[in-house]
Amino acid sequence: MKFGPNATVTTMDFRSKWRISIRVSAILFALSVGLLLFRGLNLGIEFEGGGVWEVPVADDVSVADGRDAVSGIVDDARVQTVENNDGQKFVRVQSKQTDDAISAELVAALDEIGGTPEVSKVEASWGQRITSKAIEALAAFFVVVALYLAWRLEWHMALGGLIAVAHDLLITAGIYAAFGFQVSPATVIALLTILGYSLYDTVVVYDKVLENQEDPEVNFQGPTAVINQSMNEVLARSVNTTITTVMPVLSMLVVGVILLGGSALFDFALALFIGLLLGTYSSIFVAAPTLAWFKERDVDPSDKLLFTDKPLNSADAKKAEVNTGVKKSASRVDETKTKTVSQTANRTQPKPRKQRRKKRS
Amino acid sequence: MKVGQIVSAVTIVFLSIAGGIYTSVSGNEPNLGIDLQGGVSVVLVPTNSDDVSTEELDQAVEIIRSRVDGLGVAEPEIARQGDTISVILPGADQQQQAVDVIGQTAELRFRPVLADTGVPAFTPGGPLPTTPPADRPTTTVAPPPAAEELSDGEEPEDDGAPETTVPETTVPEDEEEEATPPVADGEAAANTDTGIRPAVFRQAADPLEEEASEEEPAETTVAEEDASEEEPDEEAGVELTPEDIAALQAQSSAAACGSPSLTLADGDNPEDVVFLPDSNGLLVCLGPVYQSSDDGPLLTGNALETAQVGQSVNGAWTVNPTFKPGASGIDLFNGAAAACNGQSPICPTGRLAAVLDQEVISAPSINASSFSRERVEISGTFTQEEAESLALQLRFGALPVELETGPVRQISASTGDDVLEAGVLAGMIGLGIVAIYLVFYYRLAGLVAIGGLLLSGLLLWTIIAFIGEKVGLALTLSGVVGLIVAIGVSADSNIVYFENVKDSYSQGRRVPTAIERAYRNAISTIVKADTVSLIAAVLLYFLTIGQVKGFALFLGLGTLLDLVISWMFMRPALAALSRLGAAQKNPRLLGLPARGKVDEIRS
Repeated sequence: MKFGPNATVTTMDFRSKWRISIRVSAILFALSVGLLLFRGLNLGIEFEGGGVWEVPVADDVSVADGRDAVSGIVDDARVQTVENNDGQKFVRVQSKQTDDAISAELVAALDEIGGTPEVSKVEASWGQRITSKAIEALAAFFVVVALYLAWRLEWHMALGGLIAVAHDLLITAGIYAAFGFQVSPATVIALLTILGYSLYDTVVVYDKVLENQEDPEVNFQGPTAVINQSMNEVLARSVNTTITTVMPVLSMLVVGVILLGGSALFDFALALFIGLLLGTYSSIFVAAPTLAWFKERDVDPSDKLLFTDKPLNSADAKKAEVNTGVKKSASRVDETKTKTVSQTANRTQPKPRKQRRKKRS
Repeated sequence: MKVGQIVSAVTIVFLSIAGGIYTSVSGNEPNLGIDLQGGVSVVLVPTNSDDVSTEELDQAVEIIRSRVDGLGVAEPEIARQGDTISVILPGADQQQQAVDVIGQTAELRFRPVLADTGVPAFTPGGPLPTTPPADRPTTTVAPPPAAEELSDGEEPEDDGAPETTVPETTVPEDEEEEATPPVADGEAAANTDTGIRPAVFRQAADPLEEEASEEEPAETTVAEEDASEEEPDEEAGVELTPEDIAALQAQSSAAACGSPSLTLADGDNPEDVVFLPDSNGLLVCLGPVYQSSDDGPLLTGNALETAQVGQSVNGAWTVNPTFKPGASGIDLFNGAAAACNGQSPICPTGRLAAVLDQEVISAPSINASSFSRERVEISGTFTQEEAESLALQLRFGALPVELETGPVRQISASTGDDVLEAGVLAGMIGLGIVAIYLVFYYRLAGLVAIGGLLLSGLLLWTIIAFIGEKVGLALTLSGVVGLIVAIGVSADSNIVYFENVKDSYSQGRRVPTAIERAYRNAISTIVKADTVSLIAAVLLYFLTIGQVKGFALFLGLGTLLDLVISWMFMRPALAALSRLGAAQKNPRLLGLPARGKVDEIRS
């Protein structure tokens, strides 16, 4: 496959790839659900509360000193300095790990950079109500978006888009559960970003399908062929968009690790990196075959293509015949609607735009 | 390329640059979140820590959170910490805001107004409230306008009682006049159920009411004379020394309450008659917090369900509180309303004051003796901000526990400068790579994408800095990363467009035609996709609380700007570039593929 500024539209047959991708996605999806149910997420201190250790220190002790002191003991420490109105400075360490052994170790470590730490408990700052409100909002969002997509695109597409989003969100969360990455508010925000992006990307891809469906020259080949061709047409855009969105996030991931050795920045960039890749992948490899499957349910069994090895259009089997002339085959389409137009013919022949715009304008 | 396109492209470029200049000249800077710049930490301690349950504290946490969210998108961190509540607000210079927010945590209580003393409250060290209270809002509680239709209008005199407050808004002595002597109880009572004209400000438009106001002065003069006997020096408040005022307060306010034995109560004990300052710093004599029977529930913010800002028919701002149903809600309030409307001894002025944190936030006259819980309206000379602030106070004033403000402390960033710098550096590197890639792949057209990104970056910065400065929007690390993703999405709009141009061009169209044709397809896709993001942003913004709200704002902003740039800039910029001599000779400079011997279509 040729790719680059001068590449023309590819003519891949996506069905073989979909066969693999659907299986992989289904397995990952099931695994994620299992992991989330049985292993659960490692929720950060903002969700579950934890301990607070506060130690009075000299003015020249910095956040970094505090971080160094506790880094070997807890891996989720949130270190801040606090100054009261008398000018007394404290190092404040928060962590989810509050069992006595760890607390004793922390007290000892903090004792070395200042006085005796004061230990207290803090409840979740990300309260139950923030979560329940966010879930309500998401439910409302899914309903409104489904209606919007059903109106502007098709209800099959609304369904396919939601399936793709669920796929992306659950697998991202599953990866967090699998590796025990701690979930911070930043992670939740990242998940919401993924949700938005994933739908956005699916809409762009589906809109191409819609455009091609309105093109009688393409549409008579049946839904699978139309969707396959749309994926080919949208591929260059998807690759480029992935590069432009993922590159800054990847760079944050790398810089975050090199300069800081993991931090809030890393947490965030990681979730986004996984989610953005999944978002683009799912548009072409989950949303598209799902849509094809929905659409083929209405198709005459002998014309079903999705789960077969039949050529996407009969023209592929008779390439020689098509090569006899572009114009000839194009005119035949209009008159007899036989399936003899190859994709190459479509590419070189301008589409009857007026007809295509009729529906929307 | 049409003239309109050129104009829109020039407009957006001009706007972006003007925005950038405005931001740098005005010194607006984004308000960084707690994680990036630290903030002010306040610990709230319950006054009676013994009988406060965890549930009550959790409830208080939620109410404080709503209140802070109501003020702006500051992304506070609020958590119960043992028996206390810890509130952290971003920004080291926002100490005052933190304290103000906390300062309103007391219970909202409704006390009948016994009398206006007109005496400025004396606060040691504080500025003397010497300005005549000419601009003081006069307020009325009444059923909303629909009830008006029930009024037969045959008894204009009765309507007049509360309405005397109208002309007074421009007259310095208004506070005595507000204490208009009671209309005969019977008359008022007879009137209540027919529905009294609620909004005092509708008077000017209603001849009947004008008559009424002409009749009023006879009554109000009496009040004025009464007042001036008791408070001879009041008008000359400017020249009073603090000692004079203190002495005067004791003497005159006690007299105004009709009980010389009273001393100035310091505090807000529900059972006492107290003097508390209103928003102009003038002391008001208030009766005990209303209760229907001696051991019945007090009329507090607990009786309220919510409060909204509204506008009356003539455009005046109003506040519409909704009471809870039942005995401790609307029934309790109606008890007070009947007492005040009938100007019974416990409420001789007919006004009911809402008291929050020892300050009278509003003291409207009650215009009916019975209200349905959703049809209560406070009208007065509110500005929009005043109405909003009153609604906010009514809505969130009711904390289940009384809290004292503990020590205020400065708290450092948890993420810190190093992370922010690393994030910004990484973002820059990433965007640099993206820019190089776009130019490699789309050649000159890549420049259009980069230009669009620069414009949207400039506009975003202007808006974020502006909102940060004005509303306290906090830019957290999540926000920074969210913005970088938003920029990626606007790059996508360009990519969708360019791919469409290539498509159209390979089908045999000439470059200018392809640019026009492809735009129609591309903008349709962009609008659909961006609408999905906008739906997410709007729903999340209005339905969520806390950090999610902040995220939604950034998402919405980024998406809107993407739409604006796609709509105004993308096409004319590409069209202009395509007219360059070099690009005309070699379309590949625009990132267009080599084309075989396809006949050009001229359309």
